[in-house]
Amino acid sequence: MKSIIRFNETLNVVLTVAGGVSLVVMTAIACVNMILRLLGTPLAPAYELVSYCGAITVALPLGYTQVKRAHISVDILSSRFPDGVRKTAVGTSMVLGFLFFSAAAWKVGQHATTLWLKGELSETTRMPFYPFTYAVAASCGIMAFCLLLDVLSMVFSQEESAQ
Amino acid sequence: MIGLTGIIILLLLMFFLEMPVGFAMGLVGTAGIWYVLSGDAALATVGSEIWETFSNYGLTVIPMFILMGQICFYCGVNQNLFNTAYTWMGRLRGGLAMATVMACAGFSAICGSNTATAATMSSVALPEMRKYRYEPALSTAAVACGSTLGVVIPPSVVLMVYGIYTEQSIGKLFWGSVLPGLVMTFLLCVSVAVMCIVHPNRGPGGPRTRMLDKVKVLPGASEMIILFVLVMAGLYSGAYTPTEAGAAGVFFALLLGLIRGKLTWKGFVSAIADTLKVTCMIIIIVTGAVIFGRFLTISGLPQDLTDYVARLALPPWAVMTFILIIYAVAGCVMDALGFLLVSIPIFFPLVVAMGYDPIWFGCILTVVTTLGAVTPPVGISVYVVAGMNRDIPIGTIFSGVLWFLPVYIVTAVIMALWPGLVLFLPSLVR
Repeated sequence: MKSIIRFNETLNVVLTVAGGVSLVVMTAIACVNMILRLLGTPLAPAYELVSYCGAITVALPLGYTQVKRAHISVDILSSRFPDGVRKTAVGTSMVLGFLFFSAAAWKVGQHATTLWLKGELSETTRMPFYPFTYAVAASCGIMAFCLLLDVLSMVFSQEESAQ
Repeated sequence: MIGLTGIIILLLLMFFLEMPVGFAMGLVGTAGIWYVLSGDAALATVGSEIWETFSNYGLTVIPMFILMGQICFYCGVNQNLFNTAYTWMGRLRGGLAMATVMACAGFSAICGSNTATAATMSSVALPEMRKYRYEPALSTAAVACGSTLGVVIPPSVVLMVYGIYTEQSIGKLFWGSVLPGLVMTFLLCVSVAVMCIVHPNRGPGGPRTRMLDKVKVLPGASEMIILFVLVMAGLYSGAYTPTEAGAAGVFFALLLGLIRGKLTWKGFVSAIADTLKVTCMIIIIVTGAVIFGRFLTISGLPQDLTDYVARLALPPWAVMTFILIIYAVAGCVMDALGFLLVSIPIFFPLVVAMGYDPIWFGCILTVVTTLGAVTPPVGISVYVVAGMNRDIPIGTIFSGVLWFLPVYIVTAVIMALWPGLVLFLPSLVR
């Protein structure tokens, strides 16, 4: 279990680094386009490139955000529950989250496959953008995996403390 | 009826299961569409909305402005701002606390987050106020309340999300919140002065400074002014889009950091990591809100609510007051951005139907909801300040905050009585 958790953490750090590179690239494209437009020669594909970079900038660190517990939740009531009740509540919430992101990964992946098979191209650059869609689907899958790991860690830690 | 049931289930998931706000909205929205239409329609909505939201060009403005603020944070811009304000105002009774509020306002002009402002100003201003024997009730409350300016003064993340979600001009929203932000800054300083008149020992005056020293420290505030002017002037003239304004802000923040030699590689990497974490959290809430909004629209709840209020024959100001009270109370028990996105699909059509200006509504919402950042039980800014000063009881901070609470109400009332305060500058934007 520990090695799986370590693998998950490493994987998410790598993806976050990739997300960071995408953020820098996206910023650079927006800056270059702004300057070129002032000079009268705007970068035609800037809008699309920034959008696609934006998609992976947000998607790739999804798991990292979960690992760092950065998603906003409201604990005003649940923090008053007895420990066991709260763990069950949070565990249930994670299982529901796992189901949601699994469905998201499946449906976004299906959408990406449709784009690929239909040979959909972006309007300005005429490039296939399904790889970005697949990246978002994979990130949702990794997010689901992080939530599953959180549930399993919670179950195993409870078993260990019971022993 | 189904829309109302959805809202109740959403609240149960958030409050009883501690489910993250974005997940809860996405899940309830999906389940609701499944119930009203079909499973296929619900899952198709999830797939399409996630891709559409993640690849939305308009939303790329969020990471850009957050990154700009984070780079400034790691460059120590806040320290310079505080030194400048301190040299000018430190001599007055409560002057250090006023300087803190003004430095918060300055930092808010380049950073859209109240927690980042609270954290950074805690480390900069509190040691100084401790040195000059300021009572913690004043010093900590000044930082906590000053940090809420981060949500009001542009570039505010809440305004960006509101603008994208309701399809309003982000540039106009930014300009609309400039004057209310200045009024709020002024009123926070007035509150410090009032507190020091009633309790003179809370904020003793500091040492006198020479005019030459005052002039010497002025360049300390120049970085903030340069960045703010660059971003806002571009938006004002229509020279660049909000996303490009954010990108330009990042570029100039990096340039300033490198010229001053304050930006390290470690600081840059931390700025990127923090930006990704915060952006991801926000976009997940936005995505959840979009799916939840689709469900509410299908359920017909916003239209039913509008019709119901119309039948009540209440004057619009009474309905608006009621809506703002709901926002103020809800902001106290949950994250402002989260509640904003939960409630906008419900209230926004009603507000527009009553004839209120969406720009005005967005700006007044920032003032009302940010109140929740300094009030129990959520009070995120207070917790950040308390977390960085573990020797100060949280009750002490909340007792100090009480003195500043009228500021939020007075600012909202001024904005309601004189909408021109909000709408004048946006009317000049091209």
